[in-house]
Amino acid sequence: MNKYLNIAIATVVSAFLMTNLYLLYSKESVIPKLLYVQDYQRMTEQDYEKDLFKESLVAPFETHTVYVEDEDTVEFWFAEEGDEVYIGQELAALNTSRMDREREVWESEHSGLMDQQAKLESLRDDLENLRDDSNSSTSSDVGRDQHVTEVEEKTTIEFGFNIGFTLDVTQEGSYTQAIAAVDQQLADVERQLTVLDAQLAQDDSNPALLSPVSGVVSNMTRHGAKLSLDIYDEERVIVTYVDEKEWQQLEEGQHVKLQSDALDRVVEGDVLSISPVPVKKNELFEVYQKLENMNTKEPIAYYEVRISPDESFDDIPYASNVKSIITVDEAYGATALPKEWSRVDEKDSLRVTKLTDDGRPVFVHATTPFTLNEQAIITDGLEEGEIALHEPALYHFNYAPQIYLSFPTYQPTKEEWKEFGWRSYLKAMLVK
Amino acid sequence: MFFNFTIRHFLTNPQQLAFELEKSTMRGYWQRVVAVFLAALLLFSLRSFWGVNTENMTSLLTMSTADYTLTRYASLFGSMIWSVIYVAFHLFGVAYAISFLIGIPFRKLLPMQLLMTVILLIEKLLVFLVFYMTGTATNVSFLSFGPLAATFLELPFFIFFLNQLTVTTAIIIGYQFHFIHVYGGISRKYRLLFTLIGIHLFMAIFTASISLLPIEDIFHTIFGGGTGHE
Repeated sequence: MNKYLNIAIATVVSAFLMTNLYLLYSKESVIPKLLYVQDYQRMTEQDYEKDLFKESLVAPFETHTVYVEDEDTVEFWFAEEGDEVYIGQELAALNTSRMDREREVWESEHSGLMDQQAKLESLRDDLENLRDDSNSSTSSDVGRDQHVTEVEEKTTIEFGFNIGFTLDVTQEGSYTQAIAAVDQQLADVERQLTVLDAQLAQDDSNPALLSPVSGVVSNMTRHGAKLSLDIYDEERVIVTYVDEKEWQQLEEGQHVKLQSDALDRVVEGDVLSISPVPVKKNELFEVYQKLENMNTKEPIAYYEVRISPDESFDDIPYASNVKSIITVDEAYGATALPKEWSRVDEKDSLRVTKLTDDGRPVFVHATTPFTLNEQAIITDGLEEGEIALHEPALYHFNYAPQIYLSFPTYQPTKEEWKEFGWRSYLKAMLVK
Repeated sequence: MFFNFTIRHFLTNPQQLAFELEKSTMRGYWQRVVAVFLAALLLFSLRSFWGVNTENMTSLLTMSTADYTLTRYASLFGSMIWSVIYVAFHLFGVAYAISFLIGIPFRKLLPMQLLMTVILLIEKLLVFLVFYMTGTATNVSFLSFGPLAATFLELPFFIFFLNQLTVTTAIIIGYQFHFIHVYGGISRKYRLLFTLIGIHLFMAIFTASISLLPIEDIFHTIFGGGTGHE
């Protein structure tokens, strides 16, 4: 009898406990839960920068190549690799018997340049007229070949000629700026014309190949069907190579810090250009591959990135190593929280949990332009002073439960202990 | 003759405890009392440290980390004090009530009440372990009629009241009944049983009523301060 009673009691108690656990923890439970939250963090504002560290090299701003038709044309070379040459300097003595063909090439080049010069001069006149008109009246007559678009006090002037440059100028003095740019182009054309004129005016008995630019002779092809001579521009830029992943992060105009053994300080600079075409084998790239200890057979495509330094690098030899720190992302006055505290919403947007003033959790959308060291940088959605929460279980709730937090790690100061007041202490002890 | 008062042994043998108490002198009781006080202190501190019953303080954090932290410290300290009161009440208070109502010497009931307090602490520990494992807390205990009440009833008083009636309450009543029946030699079994049930029901009603009291408002009325209270 006693045995059966015990079995009956055990069964009833077990059934009772099972029912309770079902009522409390099953999916159909209607009993509100209080959720424990282990991780929480008060947001603080800070400036964040995401940097890309690259090995880079000093390179010429431009490489000019002078061609000569064939081996017989050149009597002998005056210049050799490493020589500094100035504009109009004799590079090679030419063979008199071959002069006619060279002269033809120079003449066609000459007429092309003359044509370009004429067009530039006419454009310059047009611009000057427009500037005068705009000074007398506000309405301006748009010239025949250029398109002027006004966007928020900024005027972009696109030139219709095949000169190929675009100017971003402010409304005030925009024409003056455009004229200055045209003048610069004109000067360049005139310089080339001067060299060609000198070339053409030479005495046929003692002709020479003249340098079109000032710079340093870098490479010469002395034999073969077509001879050439490369002249490095004196102006230097910094060149580095990036893979596809890095390419995606780069943009023109990004800020760069440059460090080199030859410099005793950090030089600032900007990204000048990012090539969309993979780099072909060249000497600089080979040096770069050695610097990065890259396997030359690596099949990945690399792209050339040019950085313009704010200070001159003219005293530093070409191909010398410079460390570049490219700031690919930056956010000022942003907040950050560990990446795993959030869920990806859509591109550049996260779903994060924060604490409301009534002590309950709420999901909010936060804008995150980038992540840094496993931290999601947040520019919008979580403000300074707000509390971010991390509790994956929260995603299973279809209501905002009351939450209680792990014991705070903050250590109050002596003053804070004193200032809290006996009433607050008593209340915290008595009132749950 | 002496006998050692061991919690583990007598927790399942109320009759034997009664026999031993009648025949011989007890040893090691007060050490156990101290141990139970310390165990309660530890359990209540752990619960408060982990955060049980601190959900109403959470909103303070949005204002100030320092205030929230100090509140949690004060609450932890309050729990420690409360653990002492809790054990003292179940040990001495309930023993006094039973002795008053049934007419058994107060001191003779203390060994039994220490065991009952241990059962209550075990219950609290079990509930805490379930909270800890699920990462959630509830206002009703899975060992009580609370979940049923919370699911099917609306009135807060009944939910609080039924939440006080637990499996442990039944075990305690059973233990007390057997012990007092043997030890006190009370012949009127049913009267004893109903008296014990009555005591527990009264305690449940009392606790449920306390839960309904607007303690925060009363606090402000007595001590002043707070919003809208001068």
